[in-house]
Amino acid sequence: MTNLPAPLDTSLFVLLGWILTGLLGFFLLRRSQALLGPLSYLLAAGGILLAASGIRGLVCGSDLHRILSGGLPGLPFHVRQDPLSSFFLLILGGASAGILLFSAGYLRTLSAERIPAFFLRTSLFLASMEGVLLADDAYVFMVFWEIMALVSYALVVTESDRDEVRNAGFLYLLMAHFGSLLILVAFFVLASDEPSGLARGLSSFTFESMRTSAPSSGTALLVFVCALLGFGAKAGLIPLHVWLPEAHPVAPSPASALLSGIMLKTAIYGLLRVLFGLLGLDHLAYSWGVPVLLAGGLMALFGILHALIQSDPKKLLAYSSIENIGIVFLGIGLAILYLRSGHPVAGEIALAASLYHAINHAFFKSLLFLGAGTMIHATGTHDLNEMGGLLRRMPVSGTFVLVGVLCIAGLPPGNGFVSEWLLLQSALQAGSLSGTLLRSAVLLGGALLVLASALSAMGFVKFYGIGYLGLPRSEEARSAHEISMAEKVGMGWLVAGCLLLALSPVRMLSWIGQVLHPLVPAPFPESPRPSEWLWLLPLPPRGASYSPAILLGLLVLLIPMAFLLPRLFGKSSSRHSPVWGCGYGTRTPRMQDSAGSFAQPIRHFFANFFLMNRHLPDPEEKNPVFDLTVEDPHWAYLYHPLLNLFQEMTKLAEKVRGGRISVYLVYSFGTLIFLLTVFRWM
Amino acid sequence: MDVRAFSLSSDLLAEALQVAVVLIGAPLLAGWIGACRAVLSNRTPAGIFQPWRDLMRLFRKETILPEGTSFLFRVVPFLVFAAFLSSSLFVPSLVTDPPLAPVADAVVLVGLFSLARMMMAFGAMDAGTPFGDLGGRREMMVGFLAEPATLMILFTASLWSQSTALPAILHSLLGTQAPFHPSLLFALLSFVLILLAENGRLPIDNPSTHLELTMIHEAMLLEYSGPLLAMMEWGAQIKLVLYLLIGIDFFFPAGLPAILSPGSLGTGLLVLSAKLLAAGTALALVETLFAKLRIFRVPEFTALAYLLATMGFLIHFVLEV
Repeated sequence: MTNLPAPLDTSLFVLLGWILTGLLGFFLLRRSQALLGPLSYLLAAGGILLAASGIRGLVCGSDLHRILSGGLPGLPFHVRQDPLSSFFLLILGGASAGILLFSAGYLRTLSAERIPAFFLRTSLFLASMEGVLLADDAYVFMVFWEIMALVSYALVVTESDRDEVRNAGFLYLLMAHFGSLLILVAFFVLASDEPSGLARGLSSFTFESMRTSAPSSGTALLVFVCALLGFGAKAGLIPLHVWLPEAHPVAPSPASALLSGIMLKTAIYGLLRVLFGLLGLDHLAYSWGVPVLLAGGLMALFGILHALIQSDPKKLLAYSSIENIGIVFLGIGLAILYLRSGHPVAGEIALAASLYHAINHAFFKSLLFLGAGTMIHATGTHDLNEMGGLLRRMPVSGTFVLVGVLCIAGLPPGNGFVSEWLLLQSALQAGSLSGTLLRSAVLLGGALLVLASALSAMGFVKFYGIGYLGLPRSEEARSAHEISMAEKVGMGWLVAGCLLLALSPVRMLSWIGQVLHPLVPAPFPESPRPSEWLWLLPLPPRGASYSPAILLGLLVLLIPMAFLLPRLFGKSSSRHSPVWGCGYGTRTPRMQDSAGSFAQPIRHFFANFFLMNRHLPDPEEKNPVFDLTVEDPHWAYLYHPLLNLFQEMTKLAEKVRGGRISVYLVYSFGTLIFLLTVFRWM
Repeated sequence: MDVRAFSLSSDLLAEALQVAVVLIGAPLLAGWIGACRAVLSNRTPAGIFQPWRDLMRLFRKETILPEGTSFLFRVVPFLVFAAFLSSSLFVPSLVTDPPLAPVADAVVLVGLFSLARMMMAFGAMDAGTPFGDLGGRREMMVGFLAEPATLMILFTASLWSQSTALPAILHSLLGTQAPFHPSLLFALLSFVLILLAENGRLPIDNPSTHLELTMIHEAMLLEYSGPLLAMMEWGAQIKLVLYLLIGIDFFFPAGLPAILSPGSLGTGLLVLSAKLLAAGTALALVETLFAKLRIFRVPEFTALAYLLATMGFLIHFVLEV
C-alpha cells in the first residue's frame, strides 16, 4: 500500500486526465468516429481510478491537502481530500464509470457532428464536478461550481434545434446562477465574519480559516439559509425545483444520468460541507433541523406524486430524483435535530442514512436513466404510451432495469431499502426527544417517508409495467432490438454497484463512519456480533437488525424450492394460447392501461397537488375531444405571478427610457449634480 | 451433545414446525372462513378441506401461458410464494423468538409484502389484457396507503420496546403492566381495516368472485392457470395467515410459549389454532354483514386506516409517556 501514490494525487491525476482526454477527443473525433470507443473507455478508466482513490481515502481515513500555485494573488489554489470528499469522489467515480462505458455504445446514435462537442463537454463536466469536491477554498470551489453549471448547461442544450430544449436550458441557467449567488453570499459572510477576517485579506477565503471562525448565531443563521437555498436550487429543493424536470430529461441519456445521478450529489456535498464542515455542528441550532426535515418530507411526497403522472419516462425519473433528494434532506434535518439536542447515536444514523441514500441514488438513478435512454432509442419516442412489451424484445437490458426499479422502489433486499430502513430506525428514536412538537415533527417526517416510499412503488410499477410489459403499443416497440455490448457492460456495472450496496451495508457504513468521524462528536456504534459484516444492527443490543445477504440467500433458496413444489403433485406441461377476450374477438394493445389511466387514482386522490385543466367535449361537438393537462402548481401560483411582476417593473422602467439623446444627457447631468452634492455634504 | 447444539437443533425444529403450520394451515383457514360464510348465508358448506382439494387439482393441471408474455410472467408466482414463505420464518407464531427472526424486523416484513405486491402487479400487467392492468393498478392503489398504514401500526406497537424487531415487540407487550393502551386501541382499529384491504376481503374486494368489474385480486390472477395459479392462491392464503399472526402477536399475545418444550409447543399450537379460527369466524361475519365499497371510496377507507394508525402513534406520546 505504501508504494501507491496518495489518494489526493491519484484524484488530481484523474482530474487532469479527464480534461486532457476531453480535449484530445474533441480534436480526434472530428476526424473520425472510430476512436469514440477507446476514448470513452479511457474516461471510464479514470472513473474507476477515482472510485479506487475514494475508497482508499475512506479506508485509511486519510485527510490530505495541497496548495497549488496559481489562483489569485494571496490566494493560491487549495485542494484537499478528506473522508467527506473521498465519499463523494467514490460516488462520482463509481457511477460515472458505468455511464461512460454505456455511452461508448450509446453515443453512436447521436448525429456525427455533435459527438466531438458532446465528448468534450462530458469530460469537462466530470472534471468540474471533481474540482468542486476537491476544493479547499471558496475561490476554487466557486470557479469549478460555475464551470460545472455552464458545462452542464451546454450538455442540456445538446439538441438545441428543439424549442423545448432551449427553453429548459435557459431556465436551468437562470436557476443555477440564482443558486450560485446565494452560495457566494454564504462564503462571503463566513469569510468576513470575524473582525480580523477582512484584515487577513483573501486568505480568509480558505476553508481552513472559515472552519476556525466563530460566527454569532445571527451570522450562522444567515449562512444556513443561504446555503440551504443556494445548494437547494441545485438539488431541486421545492419551490426552486421547476428547472429540474425540464432540464434533466431533454439532455441525451448519459448526460441525464450524470446530471441526475451525480450532479445533484455535489449539491448535497456542498450543503454538508458548509453546514457540518465550515460552519461546524456547534454553530447549528437544533430547531433548524425541523424546516430541513419537513422540506425533505414534502419534497419526497411532491416529487413522487408528480413522477407518477408523467408519461415521459425521463421526466418521471427526474421528478423521482426530487423525491430521493427529499429523502436525503429528511435525513440531514433529522441529523441536525438529534445531534444538537443530545442524541448523537440517532443523529449519526440519520446522517449515515442520508449519505447512504445519496450513493444508492447515484447508482440506481443512473442505471434507470440509461435504461430510459435504451427505451427511447429502441422505440424512437419519449412517450410511454407507445412502448410496451420491451422485456420480451430486450431481455438483458429489461432485467437490468427491473433490478433498478426494485432498488429505487425501496424494496428488500435492494439497496434503496437499506438507507430508508436506517432512516426509519432513526426517526423511531423520536421518543427520546423532549417536547411534543419536536416529536410530532420527526414522526410526521417518518410518516411522509413511508408514504412516499409506498407511492414510489406504484410509480415504478407504472414505469416498468407500461414500458416493458404487456403488448407493444406501437410498431416501433414491436420491432425494438437489444442494446450493444458496451451498453450492457455499462448498465451491468451499475447493477453490480447496486447489488454490492444492497448486500454489504456494514462495510459501507464503516466507511461512512469515517466520513462522520471528523464532523460529529461520538464514534459510530460497533456491531457486537461475531459475523458482523452480515448483520446490520444500528442500535445494539436490543434494537432491530436486518441482514440483506441472508434474506437474499433465503429468497434464492426458496424460489427454486417453490418451483419444484408443483412437481411433487404430478407432471405438468405448458403451452401458449391466445387470451380469452370475453367474446370480443381480437384484443388490441389499446385495451391496456395508458400511462395516464394508470395514474388516475393518484390524480383523483391527491388532486390538491396538481393543477389540472380538463376539457370535456360538448354533446354537439363535431369532433369531440377529451383533453386533460396536468401542471406543476408552482408555475401558476409562484413563477407566473413573479414573471408578471418583473415585466410590470420593466414597463415602468421603460417610461424613463424615451430614446432621445437630449433626455439622456439631462439624466447624466442630473446624476452628476446629485453625486457632487452628496460628496460635498459628506 | 452440549446444551448449545441442542438448543440450536430444537430452535430449527420449532422454526420448521412454524413454517409447516403456516404452509399447511393457510388453506385450511381459508376453508374454515368459506365454511363459516356458507353457514352464515344458509348454504351447505363445502368443508374446510375444499381449498386443499382445489390446490391439488390445480397442481395436476396443464399450464396455459398467454401469448406475448415474457419470462417474468412465469417467474412471478414463485417469487410471490417465496416472499410469503420466507416471511413466515420471521413472524413469531409458535415460539416467541424464532431463530431466523433477527434477519428481518417488522419494516423488512412490510417490505417483503410490498415486493410480493409489486411482483404480482408486474405479472398481471405482463399479460397485456385490460383486466390485468386494471387489477395491477387497483392493487397498487390499495397498497399506496395500506402499506404506510401497516408500517405506522408496527411503529406504534414498537414504541414500548424502542425496537422494530418482532420478538422484542412481542416481549415488551407480553411484559407490560397496564392492561389498556389507548394507542394500541387505535392501532387495532386501523389494523382491522388494513387486514381487510390488504387481503382482498369484502368491503374492498370480493374474494369469491370472478368477472366482476370491481374486482382487484382476482383480476390479477385471471390469466394464470394450473400450478402457477395454485402458487398464487396458496401465497394469498399464506399472506392472510401472516397478517392474522401479526395481529395476534401485537394485540392478543397471551398464551404464546416462551420456553421450548414439546408440551409447550403442543399447547401453543392449540391456543394458536383457537385464535386463528376465532379470527376467521369474525372475518366471515364481517364479510357477511358488509356490502362492497365503491372502488373510488377505497382510498378513503385506507386513508382512514393510515390516519388512525398515525393518531395512535401520536397519542402514545401525548397520553402514555
